[in-house]
Amino acid sequence: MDTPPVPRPLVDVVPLVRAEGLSRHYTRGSEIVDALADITLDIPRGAFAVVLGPSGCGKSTLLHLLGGIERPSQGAVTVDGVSLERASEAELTRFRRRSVGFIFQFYNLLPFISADENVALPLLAVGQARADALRAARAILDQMGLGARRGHRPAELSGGEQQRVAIARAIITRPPLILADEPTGDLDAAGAEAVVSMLRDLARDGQHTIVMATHNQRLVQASDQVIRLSSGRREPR
Amino acid sequence: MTPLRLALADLGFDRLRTMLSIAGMASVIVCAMLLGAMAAALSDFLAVPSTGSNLIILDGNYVDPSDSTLPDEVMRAAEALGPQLVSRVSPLFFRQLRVNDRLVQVRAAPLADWAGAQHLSLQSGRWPNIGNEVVIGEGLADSAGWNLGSVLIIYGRPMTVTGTFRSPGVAFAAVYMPLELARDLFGPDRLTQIVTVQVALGADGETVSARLAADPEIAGRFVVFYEDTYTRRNTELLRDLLNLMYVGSGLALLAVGMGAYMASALHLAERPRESALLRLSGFSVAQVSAYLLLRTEMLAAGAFCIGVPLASAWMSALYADGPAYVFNVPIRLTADPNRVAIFAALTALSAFAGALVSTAGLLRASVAQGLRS
Ligand SMILES: Nc1ncnc2c1ncn2[C@@H]1O[C@H](COP(=O)(O)OP(=O)(O)O)[C@@H](O)[C@H]1O
Ligand SMILES: [Mg+2]
Repeated sequence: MDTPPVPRPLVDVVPLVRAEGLSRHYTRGSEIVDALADITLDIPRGAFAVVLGPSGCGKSTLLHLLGGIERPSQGAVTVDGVSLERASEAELTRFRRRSVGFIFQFYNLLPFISADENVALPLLAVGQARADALRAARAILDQMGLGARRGHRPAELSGGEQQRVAIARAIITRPPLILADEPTGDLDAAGAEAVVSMLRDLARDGQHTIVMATHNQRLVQASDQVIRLSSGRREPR
Repeated sequence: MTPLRLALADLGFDRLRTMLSIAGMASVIVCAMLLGAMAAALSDFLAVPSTGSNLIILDGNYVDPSDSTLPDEVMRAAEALGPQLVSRVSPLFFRQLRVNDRLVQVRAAPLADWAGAQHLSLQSGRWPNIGNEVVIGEGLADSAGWNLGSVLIIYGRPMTVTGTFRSPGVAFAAVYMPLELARDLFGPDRLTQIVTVQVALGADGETVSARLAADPEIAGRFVVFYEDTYTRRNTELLRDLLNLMYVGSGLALLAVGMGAYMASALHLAERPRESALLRLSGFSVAQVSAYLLLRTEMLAAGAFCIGVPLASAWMSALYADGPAYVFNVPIRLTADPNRVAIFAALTALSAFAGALVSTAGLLRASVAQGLRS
C-alpha cells in the first residue's frame, strides 16, 4: 500500500548553506589565481561538515565566502536565508552579527583586552549593556572551565585556553553557522581532541551547524559531511 | 565595548608606543604654539596706527637719511604751497648714536610739532622743558630698562629722561629731544634730514605730493613719500618675518595632522588584523572607524595637554628676564586663551583628517584581506 510522503519540516528541506558555482579568483600581479572554482554544495542545519584538502587548496577562501567576509567572483551563496553575493556592506554586518561565528587556527583574539571582554565583543558590537554582555561571557567561560582566567589578556593564556576563548566568542550570540578554519592546527593532540569534541557537541545539540576546514584526514571521522577540495575545485567523493 | 573603551584599552596596552606618539606630536604642538605666539606679537606690533596723509621729503641719494642734509629751500618750498594744502612743515633730525652703550636713534624736532606732525603721544612722565631733557620711546624704555629719571649720556652730555612716548612707525626705539637742544648739542648746521609735511585737512595728499615732487627745489634730488609707505618699507623685514612665522606655525599644525596620520597608519600597518577582527565580531565599518578616529584624537589630545603647558612654561621662562627683542621690538610671547582654543580646534581637526586618510583605505578592504595580512 502506498503512503503519501510525509512532508519533512522546512528547516530540513532548506539547507543552512547553499552554494552554486561559487568561484573566487585573485590577481597577483599579472597572474590570476583561481583560489576557488565552481563550488556547489549544500550543508543542512545541524551538520558537522569538514572541508578537507592540502594547504593552498582553497579551504580558507571557501570559509571566508560562506562567512560573508569576502565576496565571490562568480556564483551564488546563500547562508541562513541571506544571499551573500548580493548583500550590501550593512547587510553583511547584520549577517555577521546574527548568523555566523568564526574560529581560527591562531585564535585571533584582541591582545589588548581581557578574555571576558574578547568573548563579549559580539554582544557589545550590537549595543548590549556592558554588564550584561560581560555576565554572559563569564557564564560561557565558566562552562568551558576558564572562569578563573576571564580577566587575563590573551598573551597570558595557553594556546588551548585561547582557542576555547575564541570558541566562546564564536558561540556567544548563538549563531546558526560556525566556521572553524584549522582550529586544531596550532594545538597538541589533547588540545585538538578537546576542540573537536566541543565542536561536535555544538553540532549535536542541533542549534549550530559547523563547517571545519582541515588538512588532517583523521578529523573526518567526527563529521557528517566531507567536502574535499583540490586546487580550488571540489573533488567528487 | 564602545569605540571609546576600545581606544582607551588599546592605548593603555602599549604604553611606550602611546607615549612616543604623544611626545612626537607634542613637540610639534610646542613649535606651532611658539611660532603662533611670535607671529601674534609681531603682528600686534606691526598693526601701527596710520599717520594719515603725512608726507615726508628726503634725499633720494642716500640709503640712510641720517647721512644726508636737506637745505632750507626744501622746507620753504613745502611751506610755499600755503595753508590750503599744507598745515605744518616740520624738520626732523636724526642720528644713530651710542647712548649708555646702546645703539640708539636720536631724533630731534621742534617741540611744538611732537604731538602733531610727529605723532608722539606721551605715555608717562612729561614732555621736556628747555634744558638737558629728553623723552624715550616705550620700546626703548622696555628693552634698555631705562625709565623716568634715568640719565643718558648723549654725545657726551648727560640728559634726563622726563617721559616715555608711543608712536606709530619706527620711532618706538628712539630718543626724542627738542630741536633747540639738538642745535645746542650738534651745532646749528645740517640739522634737517627729513622734512615732515602735514597735509591740510580737506586737502588731497596726492595733489600735495605731486606738487612737491614737481617743485624745482625738490625735483631730481629729493623724493616725496607718504610717511606710512616709508614706515612700511622700514618694517618690511619684520613683515617678511611675520609671514614666515605664519607659514611656520601653519606648517607645524599640518605636521600635527601628519603625525596623527603616521600614528594611525603605523598602527594599522602593524596590526591590520585588529580592525578585521572587530568587523568579524559584528562591528560595523562606522564603529571601527569611530574607534580608530577616537584613538588618534586621544593621542592628539594627550599631545595637546602636554604641548600647550610646555609651550606656556617655555614662554614664561623666556620672559623671566624681560621680553625677547627682535630688532629692538619687544616681543611678548603669551599663550592667549583664544589662540589656544583655535589651536585645540585645528589640532583636533588635523588629527581627524590624518586618521581619516589612513583608515579610509583599510576599511574599504574586505574583512578576509585584513585577516590574511
Ligand atoms: N588575497 C589573496 N591574494 C592572492 N592570492 C590569494 C589570496 N588569498 C588566497 N590566495 C591564494 O588562493 C589559494 C587558496 O588559498 P587558501 O584559501 O588560503 O587555501 P587553504 O586555506 O586551503 O590553505 C592559495 O593559492 C592562495 O595563495
Ligand atoms: Mg587556510
